[in-house]
Amino acid sequence: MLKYSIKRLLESLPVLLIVVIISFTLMKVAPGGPFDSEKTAPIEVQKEIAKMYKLDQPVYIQFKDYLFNVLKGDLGVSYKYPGRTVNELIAKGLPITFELGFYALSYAILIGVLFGVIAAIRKNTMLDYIPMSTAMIGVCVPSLLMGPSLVLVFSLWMGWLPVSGWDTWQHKLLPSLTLGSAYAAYIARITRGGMLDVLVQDYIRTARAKGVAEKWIIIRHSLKGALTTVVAYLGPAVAGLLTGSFVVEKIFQIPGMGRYYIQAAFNRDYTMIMGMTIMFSFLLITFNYIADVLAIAMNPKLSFENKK
Amino acid sequence: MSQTEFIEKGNSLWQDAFYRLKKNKLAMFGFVFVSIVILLAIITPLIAPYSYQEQNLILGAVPPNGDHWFGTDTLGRDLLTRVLYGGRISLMVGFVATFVSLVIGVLWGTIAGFLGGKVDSVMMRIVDIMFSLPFILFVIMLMVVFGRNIFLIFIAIGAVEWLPMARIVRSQVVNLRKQEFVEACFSLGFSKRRIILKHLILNVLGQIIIYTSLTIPSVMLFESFLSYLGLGIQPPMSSWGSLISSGVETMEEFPWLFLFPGVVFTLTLFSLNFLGDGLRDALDPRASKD
Amino acid sequence: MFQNIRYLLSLSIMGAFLFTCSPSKSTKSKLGSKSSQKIFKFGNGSEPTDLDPHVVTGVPEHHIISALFEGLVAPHPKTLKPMPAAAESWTISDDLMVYTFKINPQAKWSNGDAVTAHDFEFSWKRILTPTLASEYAYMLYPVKGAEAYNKNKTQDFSTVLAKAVDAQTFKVTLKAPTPYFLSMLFHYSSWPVHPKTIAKFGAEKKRGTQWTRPANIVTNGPFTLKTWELNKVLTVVKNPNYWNASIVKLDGVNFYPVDDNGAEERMFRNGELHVTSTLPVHKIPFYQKKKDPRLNISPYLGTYYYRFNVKKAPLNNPKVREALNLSIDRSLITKHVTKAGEMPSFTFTPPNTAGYTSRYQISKNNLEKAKALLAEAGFKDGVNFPKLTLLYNTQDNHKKIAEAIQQMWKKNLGIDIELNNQEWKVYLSSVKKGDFDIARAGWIGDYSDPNTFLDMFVTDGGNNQTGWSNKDYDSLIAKAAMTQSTSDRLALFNNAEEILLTELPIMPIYTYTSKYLKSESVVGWESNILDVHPFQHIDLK
Repeated sequence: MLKYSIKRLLESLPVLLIVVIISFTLMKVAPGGPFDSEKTAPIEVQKEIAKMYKLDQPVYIQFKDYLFNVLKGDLGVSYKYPGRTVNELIAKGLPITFELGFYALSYAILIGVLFGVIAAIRKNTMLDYIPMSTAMIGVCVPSLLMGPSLVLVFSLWMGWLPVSGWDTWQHKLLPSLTLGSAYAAYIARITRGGMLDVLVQDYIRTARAKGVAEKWIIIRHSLKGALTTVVAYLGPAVAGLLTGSFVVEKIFQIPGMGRYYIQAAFNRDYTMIMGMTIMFSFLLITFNYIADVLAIAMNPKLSFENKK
Repeated sequence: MSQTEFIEKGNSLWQDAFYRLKKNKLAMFGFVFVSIVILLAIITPLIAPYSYQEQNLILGAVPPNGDHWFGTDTLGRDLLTRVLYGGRISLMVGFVATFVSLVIGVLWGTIAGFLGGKVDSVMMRIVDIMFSLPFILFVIMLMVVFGRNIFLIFIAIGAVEWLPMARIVRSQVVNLRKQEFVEACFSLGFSKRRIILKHLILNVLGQIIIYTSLTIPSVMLFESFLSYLGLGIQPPMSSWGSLISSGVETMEEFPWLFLFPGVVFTLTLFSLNFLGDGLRDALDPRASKD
Repeated sequence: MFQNIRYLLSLSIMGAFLFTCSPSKSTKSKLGSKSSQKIFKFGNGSEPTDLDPHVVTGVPEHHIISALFEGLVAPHPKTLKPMPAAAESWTISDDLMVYTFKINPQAKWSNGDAVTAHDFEFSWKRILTPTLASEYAYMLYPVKGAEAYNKNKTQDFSTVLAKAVDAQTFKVTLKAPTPYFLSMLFHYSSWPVHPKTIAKFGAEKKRGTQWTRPANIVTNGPFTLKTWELNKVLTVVKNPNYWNASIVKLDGVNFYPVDDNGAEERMFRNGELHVTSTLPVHKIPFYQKKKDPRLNISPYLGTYYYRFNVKKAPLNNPKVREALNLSIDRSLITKHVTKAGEMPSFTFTPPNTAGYTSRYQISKNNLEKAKALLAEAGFKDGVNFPKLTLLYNTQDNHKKIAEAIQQMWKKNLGIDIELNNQEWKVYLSSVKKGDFDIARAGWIGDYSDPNTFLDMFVTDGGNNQTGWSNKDYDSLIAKAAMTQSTSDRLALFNNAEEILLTELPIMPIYTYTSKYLKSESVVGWESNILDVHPFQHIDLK
């Protein structure tokens, strides 16, 4: 297990490097630069700007400089917001996105597991169809539809909740719901499937035959097996959450990383984009790693698969 | 025939699966609804009451009435027509992009799983890397570097969605490699290539069908997301995604502009998802849960 | 037992629901809350990139900087005439070339230091410093020697004739009589920065230091910077050291960087903003129908137009360009697409710009002539006309206008145009490179004078970007820059604009309006063509 962990860690480093290379290349190839503006400055001024940001250097030198800085932990200075370093902007936006993702994920796991368990136990009855259909709403109604609808009903008609922002729990409720509902549905589906798988296993039948109460069967014996699959899903779920937060942050005007990211892409803020790409990738790799390790810890059988 | 007769008859895996699928009411509803939608999309040019781009600026946005069953948008264009044409685009994107991802993913996963060893490691590492790329940036850059046209959208989305497919296929192939009948094939002397193509892929087909039917709605959702960012279909063409995106802005004043495409889109996604779920329940060999 | 779990669960869900049912004891203070502070809540459209007046270029930054800093002169809120600000008086020489400003002896920085003429000389030197690469340095080019210094042709600042004669006197010599020079000084590019603070952070020659942070910044305007929460809110509070602090009635201003105008309008309705930066167009008829007094629409100094790439056939043929111009119905667009009271444009310079209205105008809706011209160019009824692409930056309004025009050309001339939208930066780059056939554009005047519109289209002008060149036009514009008499100048502009409007490298569509929502509790806010509303005159009732 330890060997596996270390091996995975080491394998992640070249992945990060490749991420840096690919995103750097894409940024350089894309048309439109960070300093294009409607009021065209005189050529001399444009030259000075290019020089200031070292954009007049050959590409491989720009890349080399950048890489060295990244290794030192310095992601550079934003082009769009002079005086703000990328690290600073990430430090401002990331905790908020984290919080949003955390609430969304908690909601998703809570509701998802609950619905999934109920549906599995009462398979093919109304208690199967209703929770699964309700959860399905989260998947089939896109967040750019669900978010504004919720705002319409709860903020503008009822006046119960604020329209946008991220201060009090009232601000945080709707965005978390909007972001989490798709994942609640996936988790419900996975839990249900996992539960169903486990419930037909021999050892469950044995437990029932021995007269163990139904509730213990569910809680002690089946749930753990079902949750293993959920944990395995967490890696991609977190990836989806980080990117799904883009739309939700825009709808609710939440000052998180997602909003910065979109703005940076449109502004051609090279350093921001690359810095955030690296950050995102680092996070994704970390989460995937943790989820994988957790899954193996919960079910050692899985590790054989990876022995290949 | 009655249930007992059916069981006694003994059936292949596929017939078993089909029977299970038919029993699933939600899945059948999904199947019927999707079929209707696809049919409507195909015959749209014949049945659409207006042109999708003809404007009536003075009319502006009016609620549903006798002339315009779904009402009109702010430029006076008939909404029913635009929803019909939007369906063509959305479904086209869904199917074609999924098909692209299917081809890439299946080939990739099968080759990796079958060849194993170093090749497998390298190929799957590439998949891992791509998983770590925040894909929205990737797609934005592609759209921006190569311009916006519908074929590029197919390829861009397909190029992102093939990753999970490759993983699934590869793990299935790895599993199946260990099964006995593959060894039997080896001992019978079939050429390697025939083995890959015929036996492995057939056995993986179940997983592919399931995954495909779940990818299509996910692709359509992704397209609506791109439209929201202004990277989707060029006007005056529109997909359901772009109709909803612009409809959301006028949600309070002209609710029909987002309700109709929204409901149609949501119902279609529901149907596809139910169908996919039903297929999964039906085709999954572990599903002796009855 | 499972029953019990379900029971408990439903109880708790109901409980949670009831809890949220109570109207939120809103912690976000709404308007009219008990607070005794007069805080003006301002929808500012986007997060400011910086607060350095010599570096920024946008309107949101302008709003904040105008609360924090003050230049030599300021516009009167209604008439836009130059009023004393940091300068208490000035004299202009007879030949209109030398301006002598007397700095107000009461003018102070927020830390108590006196504002002096040396501060202005330092600041003008800074914005003209080549390595600072200020994109608005050109606003000071009328000053003799400024352009050469900024383009690094000389490193000697004494050649730039903007001098502090003594602590109270600032003398500026121009290279040509520039009648609108004072109104150019309304723009923050000529405003002062605090030399000691700049020096402390080594920012004389470079941008991006920390001197604009709340803890460091020193300003001379009616407010000082209190907090700056990225993408959330920027707050300023009344500056007790401001020389005119007695007329400032607000205690502070909060700038909210809301970039989604749908969200901004909802915030306004929810009572979270006093004023918005703009308004979604489709909502305007609803406010108009209710005769809602909070809706504000007034003319704005800008023109919405399309550029033609005159280097690409068939747009190189002026007959084609004129045909395109004559075959669109501008009032249909302003009445039914943009719907915000815009005026259709038949000239490039907006009518009544500092008293100037172009005598020559594009003829309205002359479909017959348009068809005839197209036929003369060899494309009768649009046959064989190449499929050109119309480029615009991604935004709903631009899309709707483009779609409408696409239809008009198809219906009236029989030609097919393809639409292409790119996001802002890509679009700017494409236009700059000439990578377009027809491109949407908008030009807001930098100051209130026709020159800011007409000097765009001189040969190789940085903002021309159409490839059009006309020697007569160039010489008329150059001559106008040297002319003293107003009537002579306007005559020259008339001639120049006539050339522009007969050759038509562009297609003007409408004159901008500023449209926004303003709460009825806002007092002292006057509409004007530059859309400037100095915060020192605002009050909340």
